[in-house]
Amino acid sequence: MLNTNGTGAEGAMTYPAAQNDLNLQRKKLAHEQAEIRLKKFTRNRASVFGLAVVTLVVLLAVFAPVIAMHDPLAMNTADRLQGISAQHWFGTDNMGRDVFSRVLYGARISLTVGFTVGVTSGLLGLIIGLYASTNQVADNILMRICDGLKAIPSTLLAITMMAVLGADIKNVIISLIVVNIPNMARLARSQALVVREQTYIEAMRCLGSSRKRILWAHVVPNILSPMIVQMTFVFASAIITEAALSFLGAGVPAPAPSWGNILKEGKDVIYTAWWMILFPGIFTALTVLGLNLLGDGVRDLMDPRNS
Amino acid sequence: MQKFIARRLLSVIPVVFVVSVVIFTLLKMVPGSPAAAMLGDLATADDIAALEAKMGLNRPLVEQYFIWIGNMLHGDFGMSVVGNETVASVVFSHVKPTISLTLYALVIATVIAIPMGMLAARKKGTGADHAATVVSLAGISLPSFLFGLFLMLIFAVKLRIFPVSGYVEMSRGLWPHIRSLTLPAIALGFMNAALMMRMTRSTLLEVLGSDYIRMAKAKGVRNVALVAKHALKNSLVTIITMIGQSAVQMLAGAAVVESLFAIPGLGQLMVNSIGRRDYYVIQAIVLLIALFNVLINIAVDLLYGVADPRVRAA
Amino acid sequence: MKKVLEVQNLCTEFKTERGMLKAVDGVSFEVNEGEMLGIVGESGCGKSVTSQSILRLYDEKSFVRYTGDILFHGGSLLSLPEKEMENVRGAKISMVFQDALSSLNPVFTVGNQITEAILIHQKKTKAEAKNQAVEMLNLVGIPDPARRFYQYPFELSGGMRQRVMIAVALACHPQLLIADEPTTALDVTIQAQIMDLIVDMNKKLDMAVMLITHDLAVVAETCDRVIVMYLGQIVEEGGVDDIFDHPMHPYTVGLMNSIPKLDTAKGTRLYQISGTVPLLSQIPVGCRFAPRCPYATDLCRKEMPELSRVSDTQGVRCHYRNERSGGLYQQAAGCKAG
Repeated sequence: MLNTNGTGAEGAMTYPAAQNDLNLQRKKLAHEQAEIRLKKFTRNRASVFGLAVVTLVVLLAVFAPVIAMHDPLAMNTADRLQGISAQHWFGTDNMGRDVFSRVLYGARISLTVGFTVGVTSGLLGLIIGLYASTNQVADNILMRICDGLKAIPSTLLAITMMAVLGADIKNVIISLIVVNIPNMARLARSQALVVREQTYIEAMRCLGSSRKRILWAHVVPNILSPMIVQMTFVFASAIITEAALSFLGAGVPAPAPSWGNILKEGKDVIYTAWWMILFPGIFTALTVLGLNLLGDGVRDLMDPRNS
Repeated sequence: MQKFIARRLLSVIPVVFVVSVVIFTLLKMVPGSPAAAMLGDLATADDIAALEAKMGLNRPLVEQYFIWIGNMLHGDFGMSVVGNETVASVVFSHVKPTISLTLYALVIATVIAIPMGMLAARKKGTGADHAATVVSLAGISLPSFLFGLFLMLIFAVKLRIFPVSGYVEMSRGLWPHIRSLTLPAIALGFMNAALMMRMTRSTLLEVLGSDYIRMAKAKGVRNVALVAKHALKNSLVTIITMIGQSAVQMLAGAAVVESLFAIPGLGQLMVNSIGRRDYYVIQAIVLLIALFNVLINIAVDLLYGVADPRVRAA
Repeated sequence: MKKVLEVQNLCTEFKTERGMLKAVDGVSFEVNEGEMLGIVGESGCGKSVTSQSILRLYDEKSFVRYTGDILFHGGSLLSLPEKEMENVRGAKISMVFQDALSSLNPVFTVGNQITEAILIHQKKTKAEAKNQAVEMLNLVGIPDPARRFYQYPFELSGGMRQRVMIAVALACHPQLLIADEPTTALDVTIQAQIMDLIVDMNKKLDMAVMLITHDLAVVAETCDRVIVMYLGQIVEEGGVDDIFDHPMHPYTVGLMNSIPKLDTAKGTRLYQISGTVPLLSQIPVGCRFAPRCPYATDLCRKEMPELSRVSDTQGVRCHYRNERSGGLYQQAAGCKAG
């Protein structure tokens, strides 16, 4: 009678003839697992939608110089505050600039800020969290600092830092990284602690693996997935916070076409130029929604309970 | 229980310490001299030096920190750049609108989120559940100020039901007061409502899979009561945490929303102070909000004791 | 003897990723007034699913499908609308579960959980319900019941929690109590106490009991009739003496043989039924026990035997029931429980 795992009749394992066979089997298994994951992902319509939206925005941003019909910074006071037209798909703003081009270039700003903040805060958080998980004293100090930083709501902390550092895209990125490190570090630390408590780590210690090797070869790969998921969410929230900062005048300085800046200028003329609110608003919301859905989808993939 | 409270209060100290150090450091990083900013362009170098000495700005940093803490404990938060007011009075005069707005937003969020979360959990997998999920995803992706802008566009500009901006004090009438805060409160509360709804739903679903729910059903408890009484009470701990976190997030989000709708609260004060380089005010507001955050966390922890008898016993 | 419960050809199917899985396949039995019926079998044989199907505890909208029927005092339970089923649960038929710690709501007091059952089904005031609850606590043997009324489940010991669960189940004097492995999670001495309590309630309240367990010894001591289940089907049924004196189905014999005996020679290996229970998604064709049966023939592997009577009181599902009564089985069995 065949057992369910497809091994031989009496449940005996058939040993591979040579090392080559073993590697081949390993590759095949990895390939199969990747296929199953891909299938599972594509079945989740929401995450596919998220991926599609994010890809679209990325493409629009990358090809902005090609797609945009006007220079995002070119002012033309004769054409100010015009509605939607054939030459200006999203209308013009209060200085006669083409809103469509500005929105496209604004995507570049948002994506750059979001991506940089996400990846950097993730990496730094990973290192800090890992270090904290290995050293009791460092853990206490570092986590207290993180707690303190978290006590200040992120937008306020970002605003304050911008006030101190001055309005500049570089400073926006720095502020947002600082704001997001505590959560990343906490996540890395708690995940690392969980992994370290697992029995297989204990087994490896018994077999003589050094602590460093265990850390890098075993702990890190296992905490990478939740970290990557969280980085996606940080990407999304960084886009929101940058837009909010620019909206308040404390972010990327004008005349840069950040979505927040367009919204800020649009608010002043809200009675006449609704297009300045609608289009950057929709782009922001859709990009963030796409990232959130993508992050959710990837997280569901990693969750072993959902099989 | 007393030991629990005492321990909890003590753990606050390191956090508050770190917060104060962070704020102090940030402020010290500001280029230029606050004394010069306060005296204006016509001040001479001697005047500035004199004020700096008076303000203790030429002492070593650590000493300055303790002087600062000491002053604050005496209620002296420094002087604002604007006029001749103390920071304390400026901040105090801006507190009420923010509290009204935040409370209003919290109520809206909770009243929407919890029943909808319960409904989505009960009708899991049906159309109602999917609709709720879509709405909550939209809420999470729409930051408050963006949603506020959309609301403003539709309800204030196009439909003219609510005012575009401005704040009416409660003393001038309850309804005008509420009306002036409605769009801002919805904008502020929507994102949190979405988050809370998702959390309520997932916590309830987790609880609904428990053995004691099965037992309650086996003894004849009606379907509605299973969710509304049994599952909900067990989810209270999570729900309380959620509400606490939302309160703090809203306080922060209020900054942007207040600027948008011209509500003269702490948020708007903060934003204006940045433009004016009124650093002592900024410092005081951030400190105040951080402290408030800490207080809410303590309150939440204490409420756990009320909600879950196992915590009380520990 | 009047029948309290009659299960007619019940099939319970669950919707899973791999299609519909039948956990209970054509089970029929009855419970008479005041009797104790034992249902035994290994984990996964469908005994818990059967009991939870009787009370319709599974989510019918998305997850489960029942066919056949369950009659309670002649009236169909499966066709009752949910509102009326709620009236049956806890009042006419009650259930006690295995793990009292997870089955009692941790944030409500013990007394509250009993009065809730009373207040749902009976028109009483809060005070009357409280008195009745305290009486129930007393009846199930909890000392100082008035004080315990206000305690939370985590404040009680395992045995007491189980007694509380029984009190909750019996609060409205049901006519049938389904006890799903009530003692599995308890220490041996407490097990004995709880079983004594259940037997006591069975006699005192003239209440039928369906005892689900994998502990044959308990069944031998307390039950009037026994049903043996394997992989969703009944393989043998009969009076307790029938089953323990002359078991007919190889599986039943195997179960009995698996009980270690005091008089076995030292160094003898413990008997095991060979093989393992197959997955529900891979049910073998023919007799379901054939792969593990030492007497299986080709006929067994091809055709599913029917459950048929071998005497007034005993029934067995085996092709060779007539050939092998007495004889081989007796040799293999060679034991009496208890």
